[in-house]
Amino acid sequence: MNVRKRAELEDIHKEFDSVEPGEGEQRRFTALDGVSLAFYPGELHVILGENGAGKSTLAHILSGLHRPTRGAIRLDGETLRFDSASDALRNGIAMVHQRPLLAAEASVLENVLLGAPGTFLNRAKAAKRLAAIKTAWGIELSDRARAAGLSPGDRFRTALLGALWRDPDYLILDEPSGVLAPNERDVLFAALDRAKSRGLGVILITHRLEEALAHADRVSVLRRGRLAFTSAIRLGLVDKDAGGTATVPLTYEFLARAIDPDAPVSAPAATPMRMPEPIPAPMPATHDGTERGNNGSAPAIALENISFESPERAALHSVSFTAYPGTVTAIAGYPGSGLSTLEDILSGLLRPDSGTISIRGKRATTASLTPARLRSLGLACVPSDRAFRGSNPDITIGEMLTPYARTGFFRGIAAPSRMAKELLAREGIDAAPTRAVRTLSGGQLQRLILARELATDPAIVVLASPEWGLDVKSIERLKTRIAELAAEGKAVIVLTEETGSGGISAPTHTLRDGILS
Amino acid sequence: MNRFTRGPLRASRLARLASHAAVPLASFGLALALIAALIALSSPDPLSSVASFFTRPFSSAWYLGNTLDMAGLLILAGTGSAVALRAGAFNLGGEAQIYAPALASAVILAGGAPRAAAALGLPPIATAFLALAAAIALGGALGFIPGILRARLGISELLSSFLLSAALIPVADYLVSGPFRDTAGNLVATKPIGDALALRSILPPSHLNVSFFVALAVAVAAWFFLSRTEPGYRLRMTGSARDFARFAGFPVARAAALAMAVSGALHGLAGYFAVTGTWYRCHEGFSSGMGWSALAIALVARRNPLAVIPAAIAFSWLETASDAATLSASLSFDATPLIQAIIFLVVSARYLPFRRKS
Amino acid sequence: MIADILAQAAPLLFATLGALASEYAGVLAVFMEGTITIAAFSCAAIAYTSGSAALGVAGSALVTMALLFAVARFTERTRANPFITGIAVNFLAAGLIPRLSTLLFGTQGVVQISSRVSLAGESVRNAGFPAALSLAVAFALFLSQTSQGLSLRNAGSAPDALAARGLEPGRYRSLSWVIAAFFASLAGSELVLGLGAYVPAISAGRGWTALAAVYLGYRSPLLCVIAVIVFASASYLTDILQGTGKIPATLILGLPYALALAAFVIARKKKQ
Repeated sequence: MNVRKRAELEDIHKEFDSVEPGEGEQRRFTALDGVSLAFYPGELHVILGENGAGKSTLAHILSGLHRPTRGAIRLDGETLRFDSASDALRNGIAMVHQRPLLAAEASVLENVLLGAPGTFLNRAKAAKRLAAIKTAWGIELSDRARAAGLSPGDRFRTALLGALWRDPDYLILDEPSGVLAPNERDVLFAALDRAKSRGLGVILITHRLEEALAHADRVSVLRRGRLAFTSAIRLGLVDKDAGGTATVPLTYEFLARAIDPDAPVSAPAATPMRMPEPIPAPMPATHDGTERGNNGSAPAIALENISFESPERAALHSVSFTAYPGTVTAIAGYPGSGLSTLEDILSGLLRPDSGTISIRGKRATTASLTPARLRSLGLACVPSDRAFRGSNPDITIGEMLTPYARTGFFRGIAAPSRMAKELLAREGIDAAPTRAVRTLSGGQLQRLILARELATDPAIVVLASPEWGLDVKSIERLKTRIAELAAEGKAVIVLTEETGSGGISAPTHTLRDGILS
Repeated sequence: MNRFTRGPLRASRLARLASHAAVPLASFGLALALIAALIALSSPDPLSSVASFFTRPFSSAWYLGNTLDMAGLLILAGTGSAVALRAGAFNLGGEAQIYAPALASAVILAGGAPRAAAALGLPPIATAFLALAAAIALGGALGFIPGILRARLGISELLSSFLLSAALIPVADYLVSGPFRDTAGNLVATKPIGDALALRSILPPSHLNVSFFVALAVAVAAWFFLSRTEPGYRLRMTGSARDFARFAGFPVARAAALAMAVSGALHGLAGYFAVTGTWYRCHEGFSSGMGWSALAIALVARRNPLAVIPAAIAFSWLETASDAATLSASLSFDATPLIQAIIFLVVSARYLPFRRKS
Repeated sequence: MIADILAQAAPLLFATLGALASEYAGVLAVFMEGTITIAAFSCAAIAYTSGSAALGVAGSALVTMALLFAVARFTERTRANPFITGIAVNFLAAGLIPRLSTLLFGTQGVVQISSRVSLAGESVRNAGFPAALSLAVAFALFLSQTSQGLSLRNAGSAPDALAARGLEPGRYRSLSWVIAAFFASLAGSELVLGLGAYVPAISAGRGWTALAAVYLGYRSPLLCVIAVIVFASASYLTDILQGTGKIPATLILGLPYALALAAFVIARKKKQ
């Protein structure tokens, strides 16, 4: 085998400044906490993990889009610094995103050539070379097609061509299966196989365990920013680190446990791999109440055949579900599944192409699905974007808490201030309503938004990605609150990206590629 | 594992307040310095020119009164610009929104309307009201058109308001120098309005009249509307927190269009008072930069109608000062565009983060 | 007659190419009008003092490009609104030029330079359109055949796509200001040398008509040429009408702006 370039990430740390720094405190979110990994040419290395584990951050660092807070990137032992994607590309590392950003007005060929070195674009020659690549990878795509009209699968393939154009040593693919049909996935993996034998190193980021088991040469699992374990998966693969061979019968069950951030797993191991120890039973769900409508009451909200398609967003295909009062319906969505599309529809900010929503028996036509109408029907929503949609960092806490105040024309300052102070007191937050929203912490902001929405006495409460950005204590508090709301007879709908078992609530439905199950 | 960590304290509140005032003061200071420098450089007697620059506006009732009178007009138009800005809309059509209503007022007040009113047995004030209504309606319409273009077609109101204004000013010029020209005098202007319809001066020999106090009242009323009423609250949210406003169900597009209409209407009111209180007729090129000054003032005042009052007075003082200084230095010098350029450059840097529209 | 129309079209074509470059980078060239005026004045001043028209053209290009580069960097660094800073350029022109004109020439009005500069106005006017057309072709080739041109073309509509490929959209935005300045300087120099004098408001709304031409030309350099010729013919016709006294001169002044507004509305309606 041609040992061309070995790529290593050593002790990578990545911290982000939190969106809502508190006054007097700066909050930093640790996405990666000391991850060290090695990649070898000619291998397909799968990086597994749940949402928020840090997989994409790791890939972004390797491909030059982000710089690590600490740690080094090495190629063939030489430490390199990537200041931008073009640095990484020049060193042979190319990344393809699931929903890649393309120049909408430009053609497929132009998008492939965008950013490529050289001054003169020789379109005829380029088309020839591109045709060869397309044949080798089984891609059928017209060079002249405008990027704006492409399907998500074609957009992915265009970005893939763009990456292959730079003749990389390592190709990073971020969740490709989300936009590819099953037969297209087969074509892709067959092509990856062929490319591997030519020496290409493939790094595949996915949450699909079956893909890892079927195609991976090496598997690494990330949990909450740390490396849980890494291992070679095929028989007879020479492990360059340990200098020996290791055979690991990794199973689906083992990987599922390994990914789940709340299930204890054996200590992070470098290769060679030991046989996994028996895992204790997972933590019980913190509440029940996920029965669907067995208490005999009429549905609080019913979605029937909601569909939406658009080149810019994840699609929904005939999504239907019913939520009953006093229950918690938790929809877990994988990346690119259409979860945010669903959220926007439930908020009234996006009109579905077809389908109906009935709230407490009243069928709402798609034309009337405005935020105000939905709220008047009894549907309240705590959005995933709490910083800019649920509130705004530049306005005051008082302004954020009183958009639904029925004060008539003369609002004054007394009534809104009183209302704001009440909400603040009820949540036990010591802040003046005149302070800016940006001085609140993430947990405080979420509690206040929820309190504000609840003040309209809704029958249905939608919580979108409520666990995002919260610390453990706030998450516990939130779980209790959800249980309380259900006990009060409200229908709670949780939209979450946590597909693990220890999330906010145990999922009752799964949203995958626009299909609800 | 808790992945959130905390860090050290931030700057004190006082420091932040100081930084808020810093930019307006800086832009004004810079404009002052530049103009003073230009005057000094081109005058044979720099010291006296620059000295008269600072003192002249206070030297007599004429200068003081006219400074305040002009400030009143700027307060009205500036409040209009501020209201539009609060809704997240840029009103760049101020020039025509002052000029066209002024022309309409002058034509109504100096034309056949007073005679017709007298014939009908109506007091002169009826004609005044008619002209006032026409001015406000015309200004409001000129503001509303860009607003509706944005709501319906997504055209930037910044651009459409400017182009509409720039297209109409030559039309107004044509009307003033042609069909409505007062052939009796040398000025390219409309006929002067009668004494009965002109606003009495309260500080002769200057033009200062009741319009200054109307302007103050309007600014206060606008501030009250924005900060103490429900529609005002929604308007502010539309401007400062668009996604939040949309999520809360506020009619974002409509609010911006209405704010543009109000902005135009206030400019029209300024035009009305300019005719009835300051010039008593409409001359060619009437608006002469007042619209742009109003925008600059609104930006400096950080979109707060109360702050527009001192900003407009300071601006008007700056203009009077440069006029007076150049007279004494016997040089012609229109400082206004320079002031505006500096203010725009300095103020845009901090206050108006560019939200990229695709 | 055709020669006259084309001669009239030349400054507008230069201006349109500049506005087009800016449009590609996603910035509406509201500064064109003021930039052309600054360029024209610089050309007049430098040509007058040096006696050479060539130096006037070169110097004007340098001054204009430097000025707009400074404003562009300021706008990028401070994340300012490019519309507002662009309009500030117009005000700078209106404020500074009368001052400088008085200082250098003792007048704020018309400045005759033909006495000191040896270049017949006629030949400059005739050379204008061919020069502009060749530059239009060169610009079109640059956009379609070079990597930088491809990046510039998409810097405004897809800055994130550029960033994902390792390019810096901000640099291309600044570049577009400089290219716009270059073309504006040619427009200004063409006007001044063609007339043999600098006249206040020499640009007469061409900066705004250029914006309209960009939209009517569907943002393609060669289609813009056609749009420019259409506008130039229209302006030629109105000149004739004005001569017969049918339409007053003052009304004509408003035409570029009205046309630009109409063009925007039409373009938007088509998009819907």
